[in-house]
Formats: sequence, C-alpha cells, structure tokens
Amino acid sequence: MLARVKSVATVGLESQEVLVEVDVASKGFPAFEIVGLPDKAVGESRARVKKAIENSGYKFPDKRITVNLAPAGVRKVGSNYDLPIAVGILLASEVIGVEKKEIEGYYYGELGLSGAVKHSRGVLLVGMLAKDNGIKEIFVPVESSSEAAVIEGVSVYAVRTLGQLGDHLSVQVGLANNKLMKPLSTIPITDVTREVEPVVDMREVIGQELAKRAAEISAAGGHNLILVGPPGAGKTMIAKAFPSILPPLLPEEALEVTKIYSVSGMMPAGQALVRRRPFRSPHHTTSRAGLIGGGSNPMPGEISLAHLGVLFLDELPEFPRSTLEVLRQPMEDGVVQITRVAGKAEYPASFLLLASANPCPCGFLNHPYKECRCGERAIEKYRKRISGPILDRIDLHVWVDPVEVNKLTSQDNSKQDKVESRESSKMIRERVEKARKMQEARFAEHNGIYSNSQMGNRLVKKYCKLSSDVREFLTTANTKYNLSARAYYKVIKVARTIADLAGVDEIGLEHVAEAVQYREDVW
Amino acid sequence: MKRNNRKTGERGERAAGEMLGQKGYEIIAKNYRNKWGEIDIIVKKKVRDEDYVMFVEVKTKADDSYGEPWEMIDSRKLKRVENMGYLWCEEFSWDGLCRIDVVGVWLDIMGEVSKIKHWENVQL
Repeated sequence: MLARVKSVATVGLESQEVLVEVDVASKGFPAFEIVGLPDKAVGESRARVKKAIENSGYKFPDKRITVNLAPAGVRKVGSNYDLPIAVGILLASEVIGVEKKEIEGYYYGELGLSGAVKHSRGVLLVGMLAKDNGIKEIFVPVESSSEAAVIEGVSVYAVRTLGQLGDHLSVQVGLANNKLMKPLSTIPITDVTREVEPVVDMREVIGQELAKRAAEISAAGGHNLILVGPPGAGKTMIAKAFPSILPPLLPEEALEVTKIYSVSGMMPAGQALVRRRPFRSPHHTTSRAGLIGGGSNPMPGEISLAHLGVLFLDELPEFPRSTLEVLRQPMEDGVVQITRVAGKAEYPASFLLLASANPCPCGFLNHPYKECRCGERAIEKYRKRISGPILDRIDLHVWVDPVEVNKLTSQDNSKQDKVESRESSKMIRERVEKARKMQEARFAEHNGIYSNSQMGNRLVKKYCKLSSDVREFLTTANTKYNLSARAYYKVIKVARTIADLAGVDEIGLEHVAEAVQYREDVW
Repeated sequence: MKRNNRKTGERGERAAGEMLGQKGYEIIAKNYRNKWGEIDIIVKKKVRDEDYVMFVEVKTKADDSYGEPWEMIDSRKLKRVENMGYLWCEEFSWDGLCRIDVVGVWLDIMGEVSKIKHWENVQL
C-alpha cells in the first residue's frame, strides 16, 4: 500500500515542501530502504523509525518498505524526516486503521528509540512554510512547538510520542476516543521582554564619560564602535555593560533572529522566540567558518547569530587578519552568502561590531604616566593587524584613558563620583529606546531596516536633510580628516542618531560636530 | 570426515522439519536445489492473516568447538538464500510475501538433538 505524508526540507533559511511517499509491498522479502538524496542522518533514521514503531506498541511490518523523499533532486539533511516516515509506515501498513493514505499537514521531528519525539531544529520555518502554502495543521516535537506557535492561522500540534500521534490519527476515524490532541494556542509575538539583571551596570564604570556616550550612540543607532586604550582602563567592562543598554527586540526583529537560532538548533526547549538582543563574543581563535558560517551543509556563523544584535570582538588585533577581512562584505551588505559544494545558503548578518584594542603590544602607548616599551617596528607591525577597510567601516572610534587611581580609592568621600550619582544602565536605555522609537517610525515602510546604521545612501539622502551651514561644516571636516565616501555617509548617519537621542527632527551643527569627533584617529 | 558432516546436517534438517511441522508450518519442499545453490527447507504459514513463504536455512552443530550456529550465517549467505528464494518464486509462481528463517540445531556426542532454536525473519 502506498501512503503520502508531507514534511519540510530546509536549506539555510529557505524551506520547501517534501513529499514522503511510503510503499509497503505485499510481496518479496522484508527490507527497508530510503531513496531521494538522503544524507547519513536520514539513512540512519531507518533504525530509529523501526525501534520507535515497535516501542510505541505497533508491529513493524515484515515487508518490503520503500520510502521516497520527493522532489528527489533536493538534498535531505538531518533527522527531521523520522516522524513523517514513521507516520507513513503506520498508514501504509494499516496498523492504525486509518483508511486515508494521504494526510494533510506537515509532520516534522526526530524520533528516539522509545518513540519519543525530540527537540528538532528549524521548527519555526516549518510553521512559516505551512502558512505560506495554506497548510492548516503541523505536527512538531513538543519541546520545539512553541517556536511555531507564534505563527497565526496554523494549528500547531505538540507531539510528545509517536504513540500519541498514532492515537490522534486513529481517533479521527472513530477508533478510539478521548485521545484527540488539541492544537496550541497562538503565542503573541508582541509580548514584552521581562527585564533581566545586567551582569555589569553602566553605573559601575568609573569615569569614561566619552566612551559611555559613544556606547549610548552606538546602541541607539546600531553603529559600530571601537574602544582603544591601555589595559585595565575599562574597555571590557563597558562592553560587558553594553547589553544592559540595548533596546529590546521589536516583534519583527525577534522573528528574524529566532529564524536563525531555530535553524542553528540553538533555541532552548520550550522557548517560543528570542526576545533579547543577541550579544555574541567569539574568542579570537575562532575560525573564519566559525565567524561567517560554513560547513558542508552551511550553517550560520557568529555574525549571523549576532544579527540585529552585537558582535563583540575583544582584543581585535589578536584576531588573525584573514579572519577579520571576511567581515568586510557582510558588514557592508548585512547579509552573508556561503557557498559549498553541497549547496549554498544566505544568512542575514546585520550586526553591530563592538571591538576593543590596546594601542600597542605592551598596551601603554600614549599612556599619561606609564612608558611604552615597544619598539617602532613592533608598533608598526601591531598596527597592521587591523586593516584600513575594517577601520573605515567602524563609525565610532573612541580612546579610553586609564582611570585615575584617586577616583577609584576616594569613592566614599568624593561627592562628585559616587556610584549613585552616576547614570545607571536603565536611564541610558530609556534614552536609547526613545531614539529607537523615532527610527521605528522613520523606517516603518522599509522592510528589514530598523536602525539608522542600516540605511543605504539613498535613505540617508531621504531622511538626513542637511542645512547649508551643516553641509559647509562637513566639507571642512572632510578636508581635515580625509574622510572616505563611506565614512562621510557614516558621519551623517551617526549625526542622525545623535539628533534622535536629543529628540530633534533636524540634524544640527552640534550633532554633526559630535559625530565627526568620533572619527578621530585613535588607532 | 566429509560423510560425517553430511550425516550431521541431515540429522539437523530432519529435526528442524519436525519442529516446524509441530509449530504449524506447512512444509512445501526440502533441499530445493539448482546449480546456484540450495535451500534446506521451504515452508508456508499464515502470519497475521497474510500468507508467507519462509525459506529456512538450517545450521547444525555437533560440538561446541566452532561457536554458535548463528555465527555461521553472514550477509553473503543470507543474500544467497534470498536469490535462491526469488528463483523458487519464479519457478512455482509465488507472487506474495517471503521471509528468511534460520533454525539452529545442537547435537550431543551421541548424535541426539540437545537443543533446537528458531529465528524468524532474519535480516542483517
């Protein structure tokens, strides 16, 4: 008998419908084969499916079983075909008494030997494809089901075991009762994030007003930021406090980020959406593929996991130059295309680059009190580790001076700089959120653009009208700093954010002046 | 030595045939052979309302020195039985379900059956 069950194949963030055809022959010797370009994991699903069926209390047919995954030209990767194959076998061998051999709905998930349905990657995409294709119901693992439950108009069934699903299917023809599964109720994507206690509060950072201001602008507009300074000045501390001033993800943003995390298999069981802005800090030994994504079946790298969030590269010069250079194209385009023999994938990678660096190998170059002990050659060599094109793509360059020791020790008596008197992350975040609100309204009609940093040149011209004296000032600054065309636009975008922070619609001279100041040569 | 082996084999196959008969299998043929090989016993039975033809390979052990009977079955041997099965199906126009069974027979020093075991639907 022939049965047909629908499932989903995912390549990158693209998904497509797969028809799982199961034939159980009534002649010949028992066998079990899967065709239709399966990979190793799909081939191994034979063992899982067989044991799962037996351990769910059904009889695995002693017959020749042929499974075809159509279209046969698309590579089938992963263990998610276990569930549709098992359901197909149950239908075709008539063990659950369902006469219908073709069932609507998508079936997706990995099986354990016990018949339990396991947490699987990419469930959000299954829900999205179901909606696009007008499929009414999907059957997915219980632990991943909340991911799909954010999609409206699709009934999501959380399947715990194969036996439970078998009961559900046979109930539909009236064989058993009380065993019908109920679809999950839709989870609203507009739910606000609950506030989390930051690891480090901006309030704990002593001094460094300029760096904190730059961090605020960076967070408000999504601009790249590099902090250069001697060791112990507080660069890493500011970076650690950075997540606490980031605005929460907008619903559409949350959906975009969740897609990437779902495909990477990084969604925690039971969680519906990524609600916090990503903050990734890969170590400097991370490989190029680890950073931009890769693998024979291309998976997202750190830059895509940091999409709409922060990619923090601590000790930027320690990263191999070849690793850093691969960031150039994605930093510009906000997407990365990974091509391998087995296939290609495109992942969004619109991230905020936050970097820190020492000015020289010993770290004390330009230090007010300590002497730098590096030779000319050593400094020159060190400088070469970060290329011009990368620096050009960073909007905010900030020098972080060492903290004066008396500021650290006189914490109790000096009235000026008590912990309580300094601004907390919460206060900064409120300003950041206000600035983001203005951007949200500005880019409402532009799909996929959420912050000033994502503006292309055409949008800059549209939304950053400059008065004649501002224009004049910029021309002067241009000759003084020798700005590249890219840097010129970046200055305007930063000025736009500074004006947003001030709550002003028009970019003024003071905004541009502050923006230009962050182009200062600190490296 | 050779003759002794054949005697052992015949003894085992007889015992296997009796056992299958007692279990309700209908014996269709014994020692079906052609130039490509041999099937020891061919039987027929209804399993869950469906007719199966079983091609039975009998393995007989006269002493313990060479391991257990099932250790003498490998995927090559199974493939040969399967191919022989297809030839039989062709010859006797059987267009239904088939499977391969293995029966292990242990003989004691006196040549008496000490143990007999039946593995249904053997697949490697």
